[in-house]
Amino acid sequence: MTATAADSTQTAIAARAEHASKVYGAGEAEVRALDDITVEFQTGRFSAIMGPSGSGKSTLLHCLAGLDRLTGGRIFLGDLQISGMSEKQLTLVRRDRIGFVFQAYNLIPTLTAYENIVLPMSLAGRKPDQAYVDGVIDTVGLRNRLKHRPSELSGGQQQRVAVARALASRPAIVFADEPTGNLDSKSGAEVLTFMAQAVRDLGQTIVMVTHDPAAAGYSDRVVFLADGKIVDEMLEPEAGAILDRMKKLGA
Amino acid sequence: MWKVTLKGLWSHKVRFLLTGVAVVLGVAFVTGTLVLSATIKSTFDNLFTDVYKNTGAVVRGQAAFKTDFGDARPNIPDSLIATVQALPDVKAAGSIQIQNVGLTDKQGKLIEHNPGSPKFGSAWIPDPKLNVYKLVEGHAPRVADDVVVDKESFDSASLRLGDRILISSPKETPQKYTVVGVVKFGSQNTALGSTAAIFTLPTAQRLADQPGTVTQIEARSTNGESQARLAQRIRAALPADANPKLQVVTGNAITKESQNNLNSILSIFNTFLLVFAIIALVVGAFLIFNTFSIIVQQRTREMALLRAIGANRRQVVNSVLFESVLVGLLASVVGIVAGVFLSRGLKALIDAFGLTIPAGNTVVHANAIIVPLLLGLVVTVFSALFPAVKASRVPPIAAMRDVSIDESGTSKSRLFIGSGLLMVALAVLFFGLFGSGGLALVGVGVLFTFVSVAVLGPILARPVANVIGAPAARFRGTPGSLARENAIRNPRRTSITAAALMIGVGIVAVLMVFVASFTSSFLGGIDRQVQATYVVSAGSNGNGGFSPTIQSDLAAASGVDGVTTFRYGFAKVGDSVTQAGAISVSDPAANKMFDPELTSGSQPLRDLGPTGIAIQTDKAKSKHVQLGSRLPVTFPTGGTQSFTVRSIYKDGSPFGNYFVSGSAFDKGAPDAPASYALVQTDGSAAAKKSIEQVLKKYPSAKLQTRAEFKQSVASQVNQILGLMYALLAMAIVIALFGISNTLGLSILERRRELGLLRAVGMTRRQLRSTVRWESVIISLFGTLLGLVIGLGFGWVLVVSLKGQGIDRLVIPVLQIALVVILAALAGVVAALLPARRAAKLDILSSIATE
Ligand SMILES: Nc1ncnc2c1ncn2[C@@H]1O[C@H](COP(=O)(O)OP(=O)(O)O)[C@@H](O)[C@H]1O
Ligand SMILES: [Mg+2]
Repeated sequence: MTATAADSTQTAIAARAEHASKVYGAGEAEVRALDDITVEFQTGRFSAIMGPSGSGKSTLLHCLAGLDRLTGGRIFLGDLQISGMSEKQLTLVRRDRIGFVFQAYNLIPTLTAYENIVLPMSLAGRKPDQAYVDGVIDTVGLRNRLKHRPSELSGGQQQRVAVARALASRPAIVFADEPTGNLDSKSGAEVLTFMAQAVRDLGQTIVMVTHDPAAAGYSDRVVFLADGKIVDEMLEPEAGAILDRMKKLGA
Repeated sequence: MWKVTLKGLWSHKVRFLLTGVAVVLGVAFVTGTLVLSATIKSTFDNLFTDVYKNTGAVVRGQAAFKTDFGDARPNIPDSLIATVQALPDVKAAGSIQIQNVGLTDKQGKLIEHNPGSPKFGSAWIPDPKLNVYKLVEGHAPRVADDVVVDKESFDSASLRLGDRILISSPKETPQKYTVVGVVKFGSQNTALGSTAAIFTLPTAQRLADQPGTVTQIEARSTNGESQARLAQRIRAALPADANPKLQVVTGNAITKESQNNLNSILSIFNTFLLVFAIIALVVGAFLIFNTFSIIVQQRTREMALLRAIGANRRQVVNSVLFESVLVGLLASVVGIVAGVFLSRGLKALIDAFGLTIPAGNTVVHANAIIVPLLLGLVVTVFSALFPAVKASRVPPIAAMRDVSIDESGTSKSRLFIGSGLLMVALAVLFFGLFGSGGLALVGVGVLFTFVSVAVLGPILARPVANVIGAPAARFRGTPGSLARENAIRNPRRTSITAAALMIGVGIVAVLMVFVASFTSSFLGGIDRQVQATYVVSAGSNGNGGFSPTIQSDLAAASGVDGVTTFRYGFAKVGDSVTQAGAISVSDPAANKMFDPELTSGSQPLRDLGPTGIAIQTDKAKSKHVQLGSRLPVTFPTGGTQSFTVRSIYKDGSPFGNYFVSGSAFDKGAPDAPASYALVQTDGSAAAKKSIEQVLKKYPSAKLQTRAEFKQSVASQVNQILGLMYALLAMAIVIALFGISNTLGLSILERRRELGLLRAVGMTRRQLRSTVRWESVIISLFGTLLGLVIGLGFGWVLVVSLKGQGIDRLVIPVLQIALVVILAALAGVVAALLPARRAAKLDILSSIATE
């Protein structure tokens, strides 16, 4: 059902969850947000995680990204086992190896668009690879907005800045949680196009959570989650097929 | 509605705790001051009631003039004791009070129960009912060299009856006396920490250098008649043409009078402390204002989110008002309780700075509760009302917008109002300083200046914080530049937080400039005017004195070329009551060692003669006198004498405004001891030895080189300065709480962005650093404003005091640098908690916050 270890000889694995489980509460109130999940995400692919609300998508993404801790199992980013790392190590991993796009509130209001884009690198005290950053900025079409602060940008522009930030440091992997959830369909389509473009042209790895079949349609592979378990997956998915599958899952 | 508010209060308990702390500290300070002064007052009231408990009437000389410390009166003939005593059913005794009669232990060391505490000498009063002291061991003084001492001295110096001890007095060479008795004051071993030396009446008269007289006669009736009736009978028995003129008052009247005299001194002390308490409260008001501004802003947003617009605007104001009343009330109550304890702390603080004040059981009057309660409540509610009303006018949609960046700080109207207010403030200030406005106006001017700068603050916040934050941004990378951005994103919040600190720092700066200028001018005066090898000064605090006989004793010592002594006492010169000095010069050559920079045509001070007076230039001007003018002078012994102005000397003499000769002083103020003696020697070690030998007889005298004397003057000034700094510390601590509180609230507000920063890789250490730098920037901003205002005020103050002997303006650069460094450190300290809190935020729940 999922990609096995044997496949990884051909395509490197960017992120892997092994028997990952996450339990909230105890006794009667116990919620298994992740229930013994094993899943891999290949390098250079645009993967989507789908599932009904409450199925554990965000939890999985957060655990993969070192923002949250598992109650059982292990997480690898490339060869690096991040489950069990200290808070400080996790922070550095997030800073140096991961890019993030959240549903909303992605930008620091006191910083300009450009400062937001290079934020992880300036936090690391690293000089950005200017040519690469310029490339990203041109790709997302923000050249003439660089000096603006987030409050002077539209929602779509803000999300594009967020995508640019996620890509600019050339992270090993980018995680996006409903990146288009707050956008109108046109702006959403733009943002998704850029993400797909980054995977295709720059070889970026992206894992995106969404409940929008149209958004998932931009990806190379969709993993379906229900009640904290992987229930299905689709390669080279089409929006229509995804919708059907989702309906079956009762979303 | 109330339930919601209460719940809100509970859920924001930390925030309210911090707001409350500001009120608690301010109120506690006010309460502490009121309680302490009530305690001191009641202590003295009880003392005077005890002292005059059995006294039915008192006969004394008519006041020559009034001073700030009570009336100056001449002594009266002791022959009157017999006159009063001869009346049927009347017991009477002559009483003599001499200040600065120092007991010594067997090693000849001065006995002091507290540094600088009073040392009384008096005559034994045979009638046990009139005598406030109670003999507990030995017997009353019988012969000339008998002395009775207080039990505290007796015990602490391990004296025994029959011991011969040296006693120094203001007027004669110290002599040995035999300890023959021990007394208690009521049930106490000492009367409020004073030492008591009680002699026979003739000995006391000799020590006071007023033979044949007593300070007053105390009488009581044995037939139960009223005090008024007794006074009436005594009055009738006294000679009508007595010199000095006599006065008979009842025991109750004199008790009241003594209490009132002391109260007027206490009220100065009280005002002094209250000023600092009020400063603390004003600073607290800024903090409360800021906290409620932030709360209201957040609350309005919450309400808007609930789509509860319209009627709810009033609800916002009401809920804030209710909260502020609750906080004000709770905090005031806590503050009052804390203040009762603080009063002890204040006393300990003042004692620690060498101003020992006696205080008995703590007394809490109703006004020590009502006044602070009202103040705390009013300050809290008013500070909260303004932001509440203002915020309620903001359209909810605007309030709902992101907190990110607040541009409201830079409006034109703010600039107009702020500068207008500043102009008014400065006008009031100048009128207070240079016009006939007086000190209260200066205070109002200062307060208004602070307020107007606080109004202008938001305009200044952005550019100034930008500059202050530049090094942080440069050297601390992203955390530094984020800190700078955070410090200027809410200019109003930043500037009000900073303004609270500005007040404390501003006052510190004024004091720094004033004290540095004063000290430098004063020491400069000593440099110019005093050429003596040694300065002999009196007492551990420079108050008190020693016998003027030191003059001849020192002059006779080998290696001594000349001696000049200074004595001070109250006198009425022209129509103003003042401290006048007497100068006695032992040797014509000695004139060189004290040169007050005489104007041409002036006589040297040693040649003033019995009716010559020397006067400082500015006093000569204000009294419209020149050399040769006549000036009436009244001394405590009564009778106005005409003096001739023989010398006029330069302003700013460290030794006083007027001088007459020692012989003139002997007649007018015979009980005034010597305060300083300047000694010129041949510089040899032998000379020093011989001086030290002489001083063995003067236990209260301290020998210092000129340099040491200057040092001790400077350190005395610094001691007072230290006390004021300690009192200001309260205001500064409140301001730091303010920074802490504001940062804490800001962090709560910025949770999402902090979560985001952490998510994209900001380490906890970097986040703490960001908070810390923001705090340092705010703190330095406040300090800078304070320094600018304070240095300005200091400068104006010093200029306005030019006539009063402050002729140099000194800006203490090193101290200012120290203040800046301390402010930066204080910023770090204030950030400790908020930084920890920020670093501990859970990333996921912060990001998820709506
Ligand atoms: N902090 C939490 N405490 C308790 N339960 C949680 C917490 N976070 C998520 N859950 C629960 O875990 C399950 C998965 O949540 P989540 O991963 O957010 O779902 P999705 O993103 O798919 O909507 C849900 O049932 C949710 O209620
Ligand atoms: Mg989710």
